Amino acid sequence: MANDLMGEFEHQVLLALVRMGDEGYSVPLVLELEERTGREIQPAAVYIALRRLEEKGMTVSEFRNAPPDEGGRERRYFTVTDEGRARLREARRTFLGLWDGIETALEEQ
Amino acid sequence: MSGGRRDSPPRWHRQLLRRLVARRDRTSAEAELEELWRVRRGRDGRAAADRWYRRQVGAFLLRGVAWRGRRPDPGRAGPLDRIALDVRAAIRRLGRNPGSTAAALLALVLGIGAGTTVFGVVDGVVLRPLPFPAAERLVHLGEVLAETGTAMAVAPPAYLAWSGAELRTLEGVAATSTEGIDLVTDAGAEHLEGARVGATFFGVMGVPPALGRGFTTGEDAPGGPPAVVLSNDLWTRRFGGDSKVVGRTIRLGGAGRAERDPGSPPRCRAMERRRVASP
Repeated sequence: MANDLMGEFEHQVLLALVRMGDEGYSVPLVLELEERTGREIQPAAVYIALRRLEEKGMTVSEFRNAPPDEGGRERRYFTVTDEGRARLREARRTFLGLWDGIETALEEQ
Repeated sequence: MSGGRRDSPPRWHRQLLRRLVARRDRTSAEAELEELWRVRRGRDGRAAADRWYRRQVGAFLLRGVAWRGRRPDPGRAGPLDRIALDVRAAIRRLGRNPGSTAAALLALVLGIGAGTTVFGVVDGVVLRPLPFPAAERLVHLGEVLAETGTAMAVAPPAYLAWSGAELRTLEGVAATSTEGIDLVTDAGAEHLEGARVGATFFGVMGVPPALGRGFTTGEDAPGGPPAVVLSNDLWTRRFGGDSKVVGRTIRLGGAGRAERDPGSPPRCRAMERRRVASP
């Protein structure tokens, strides 16, 4: 179903979440994505991606308070589900298959 | 707020975010965006962090994260949700091409302005009836210079011929021309837009004065007794709507005029644009 397809940005968000240890909230996720992609990331876009990933069963979320030394305010933590990890593996296989044999053709001159 | 001691994101935008975001996300979204603002303030300075924060609140609005409820999925959205999605997509695209957006808006504004102007003319000339009881029976007679088609003032002999005893096609003919005239009272002088009309004017137009009378045949003859009819506006504004003004003498200057007798103050739209009528 089209609704279950993972968009490019959702893919990036899910990968960043895995890199953070399978769990995280939006702030380190935004900073991680900005560092990895080299461009400004809108928190609103991350919110949308996280919500869609949750609707597709690739993440789950819960509200928890931050540790006291970090202000103690409420945060929404997202965790990658088994389904999410499986979809990432599947996407990687698909991409590797698509890339196979054309790396040299797309190398920068 | 832009005071140097402020240790939080721009207040107005923070409140806007609080109002936009759905209740279940409100606290975390506000706290997390503020946390990112602090990171940027430490890295880029407060001014840059404030600008970034305002942009992000705008992005929350445009991207529909506001969602007081569920964000509609394009695949499952109902008609209203689809309209909301389309509007947001249109706003985003317009924002990406400010030049084209400005040109389109300019064209739209000019088009609406031109359309409004044309409608105003059509409404006044074609759609809205003239303020006379039998407007459909009124015709405008004039003279045109045959060589150029230029409208000319009607010569007195022509008017006399049209309104003479042999008149059969028309029930009556009335002459009128515009004339500026000065009203002098104890309160001061005022220049008025007036009209010179023939004695038949009020009868032909079908709008008898509300008070007093119109003009008699002798009054529109050269050297006839002076008389004027006041517009409702002038009557109420300069004479306090006093019905005793009928028969009083007022002083009208200009063009060597003598004192005139205000025949009556008419309450009719026909006279609204002219302050006085005189024969």
